[in-house]
Amino acid sequence: MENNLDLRVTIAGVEWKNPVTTASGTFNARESGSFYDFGKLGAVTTKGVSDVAWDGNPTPRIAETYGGMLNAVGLQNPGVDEYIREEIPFIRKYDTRLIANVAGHTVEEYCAVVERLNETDVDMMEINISCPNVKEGGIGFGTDPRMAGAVTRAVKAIAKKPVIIKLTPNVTDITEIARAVEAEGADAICLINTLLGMRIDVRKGRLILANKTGGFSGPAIKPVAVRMVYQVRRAVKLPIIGLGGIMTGEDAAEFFMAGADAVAVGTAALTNPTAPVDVLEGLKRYMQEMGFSTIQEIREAFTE
Amino acid sequence: MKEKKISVVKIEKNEPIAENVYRMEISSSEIALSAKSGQFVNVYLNNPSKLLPRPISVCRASGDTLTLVYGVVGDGTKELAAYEAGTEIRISVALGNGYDLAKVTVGHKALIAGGGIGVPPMLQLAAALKKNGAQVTAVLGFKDEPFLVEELEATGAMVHIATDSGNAGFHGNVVQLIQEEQLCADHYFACGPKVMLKALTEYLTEQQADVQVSMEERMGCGFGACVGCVCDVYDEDGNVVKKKVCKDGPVFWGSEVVWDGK
Repeated sequence: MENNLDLRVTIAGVEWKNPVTTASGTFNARESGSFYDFGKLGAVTTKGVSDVAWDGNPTPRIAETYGGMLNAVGLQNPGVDEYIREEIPFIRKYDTRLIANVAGHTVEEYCAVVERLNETDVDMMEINISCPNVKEGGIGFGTDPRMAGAVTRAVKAIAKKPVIIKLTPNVTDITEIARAVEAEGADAICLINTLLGMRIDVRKGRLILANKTGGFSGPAIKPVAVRMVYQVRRAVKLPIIGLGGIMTGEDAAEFFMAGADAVAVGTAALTNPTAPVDVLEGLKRYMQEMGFSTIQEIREAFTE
Repeated sequence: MKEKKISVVKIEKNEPIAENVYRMEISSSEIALSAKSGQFVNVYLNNPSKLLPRPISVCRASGDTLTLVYGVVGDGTKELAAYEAGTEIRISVALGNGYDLAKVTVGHKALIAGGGIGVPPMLQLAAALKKNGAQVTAVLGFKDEPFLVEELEATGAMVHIATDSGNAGFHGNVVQLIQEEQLCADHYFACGPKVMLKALTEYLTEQQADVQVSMEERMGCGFGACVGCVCDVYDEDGNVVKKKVCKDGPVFWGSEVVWDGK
């Protein structure tokens, strides 16, 4: 606690020393860690890990947009064995919660990863049912309440850690999906993942991304994310980790006022490698200026 | 573990040296001292709507001056070209693996091949090779208008020029010029369009030689977190793996790179 600020939050029974984490896919422990001490964050959320190594999509995988970007990385990762061997021990040296994001093409694949991670000391698991880049299953799960519920039920049946379900915004009614995963036992909800976008190079007359479409993220999407957190808060009782375009401490406060319990910083870290700790410091300054001591006080300062 | 940072630096000079090619000088002893040939810096634009860093190769790092020579190829570099002397921008320390000069010693012959906007990194490379005591031959290819030729000659390198248009030097491309002049060396380094790097690798493979090539790919974060900028390479077992150009590269061995279909 500093200057009478108490930033602690408890998400699904796990206490974080502050409510800021990294967004999966934008954080690499060694690389990001060479710019800032990620031990200062309440939690770190690592890149989606699958049961076997995934190659990801052909390049180009990245395109810039006005106030945002598109990515079609396709969840390239070395697989859960290497994650357990290399990443977990490295991150555990730091005083921060470790949230392992889990990727899969099928319910069985998600469960296979969860089973392996059960035997480790990760603090929480975030099930990525929403990545729009994976052709099979990925987009289906997150956009269909029955499938979203089915994954949640299967994972919860075997998970030995709290389970966060990460939702895709590419749906007609996000509250429908949120209610479905709550009904099947999700311990927390994380939203939003990326929107679906595309860019065309008008000089070459070609699509920029090899995958044609990509996940749209960055400050341009914040209003969609804030609206969805607001809606989901009023639909479920679960803890909410909110993300989508957070660049500053005030952006984070906006998510708390919408109803989030914690926030994640993603694309901002591509523009500014130290963004997650900068957002944390900005949040503290905002709280001091506004006279708030706790995150709860930020939420309570919001009236309909 | 914190070792890398983004610094706010002042642009000392920013001038065109050829059509759509600009030369920028930045005063930063920290960055200049850290930079090795074949590395790049991430340049963050002042326009907040343009989020992504522009990775620009180190042209020359000497004393406390970092020189970047870049092509105006899109919105970001167009904005960069408009920054006047005195403008402050954020840039990273030098990133990437850079060229490996460990095996280059006194009296060795080095051939460095630069194509178009692949020419700028040859300046730092030539200087570094000279420092190792090597004899440097530089073969530079341009579409039409050569640039940085005098600066390269000033490092003591023997410079050969090729232009596609025939406007200056040899009428043809870098690989053709190398073949024509029967140029050879103990060590080869290159930077330029993929088609040039591939042709050079194939030619040198026939001579039982390998070449360090600088690869390029659209980047996201530019420092190894987002896994956007991968390049297919063969690992020790001959399997194709995807390596990050910003972190594992940008320099790879020509023999490692999977050239087909890329």
